[in-house]
Amino acid sequence: MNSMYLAVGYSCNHHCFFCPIGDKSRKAKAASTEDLIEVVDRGIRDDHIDHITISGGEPTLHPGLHDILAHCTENGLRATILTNGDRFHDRQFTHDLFESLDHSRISVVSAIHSPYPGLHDHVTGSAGSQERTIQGLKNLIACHIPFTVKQVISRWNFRDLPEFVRFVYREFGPYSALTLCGMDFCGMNEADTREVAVSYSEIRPNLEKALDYIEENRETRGGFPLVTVADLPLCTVDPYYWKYFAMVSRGRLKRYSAPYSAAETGKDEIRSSEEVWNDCDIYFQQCRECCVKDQCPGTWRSAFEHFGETAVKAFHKF
Amino acid sequence: MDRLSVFSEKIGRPIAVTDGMVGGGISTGAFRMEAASWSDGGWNNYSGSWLDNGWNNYSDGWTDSGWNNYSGGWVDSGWNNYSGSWSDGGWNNYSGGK
Repeated sequence: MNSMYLAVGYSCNHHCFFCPIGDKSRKAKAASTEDLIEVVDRGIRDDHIDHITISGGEPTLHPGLHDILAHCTENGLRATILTNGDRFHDRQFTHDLFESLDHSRISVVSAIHSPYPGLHDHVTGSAGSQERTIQGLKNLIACHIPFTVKQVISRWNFRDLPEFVRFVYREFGPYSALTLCGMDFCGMNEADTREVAVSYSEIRPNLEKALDYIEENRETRGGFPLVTVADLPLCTVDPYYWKYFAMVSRGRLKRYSAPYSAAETGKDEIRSSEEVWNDCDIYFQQCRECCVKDQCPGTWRSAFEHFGETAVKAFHKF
Repeated sequence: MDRLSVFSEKIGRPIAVTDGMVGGGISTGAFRMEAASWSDGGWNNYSGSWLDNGWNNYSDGWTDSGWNNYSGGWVDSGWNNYSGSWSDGGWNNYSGGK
């Protein structure tokens, strides 16, 4: 798959505690629809992309999102929208956004940070946001737009992983895929990182319990259409659970494009980087000695820098 | 060629590590999809199978009570917070688009 990552702008209606955007002062609120479509065309023409991830900031705040999606799908791309899902709670907005688009080529990924509204809203810095996102995702079902609920595992929510999985199934039935993933501390200061970072060994029992529930749920109720554990190393869990792990962030993108406020001119422009490598890979010495290093999703560089060498454990051939 | 296996404490025996073991996540057997491209071929299976039956369940089942919660719950107080906070300042700051 040739994939491109497109940030349409950095406006956002949430204020997430672990937002990875970092220093927003040099980043433009939004790029024009015309400029963004031109960047997509460049990706199709020069890099032969067949998939695009549309992100931000919050991409649903961009008034040209419908036109950008239409352009992508009409040109044969599959598009994944990374969104907090908040605006989808407005049924008319959601209907208007997706009407006339090829639904089979679009999917949505939204993070829910906790089964408990108070914690989710604390993370997003937006009162009532969990309820709006839940309703927004239910509105996607009515529009036949497939979606994935994602949880980024932190010290605040790792104990609730089994309950979180039950909660997602309770809310969305078989209509939501599920992704449980490790956190990238990129863009966070050391104090904030200490506040939310949780070691892989602490995550282990809770993640395994959550995956046990997923298996039981699949046998008894049909389960989620897809379950993925991402951005965590294989040594987080017993090898029995590796079948859930996916190589999502390790590796390269074809093109990364995002708007910046150019300091020299004061004008906003879209800057692109080609052949970008994600900061998720094999960084630890233990990893280099591990017999499954080639199969491992890896860890975020920021996690390596925070936890140090003792965070992972090499597997050896049996 | 050496066969790669690792020991699973959960099941008390070695597990063979295969090329396809890690890479796509796991889905219910009938709806196997690749995580990185699950909207590609996957949605053909999706719409052709459980979705059809699923939509009936959807309308008959869990959304009914869901919509009651929708109208009776968060909307009232939610909209006050919603309009009173981010949207005012947020849209003023929003400069881009067509």
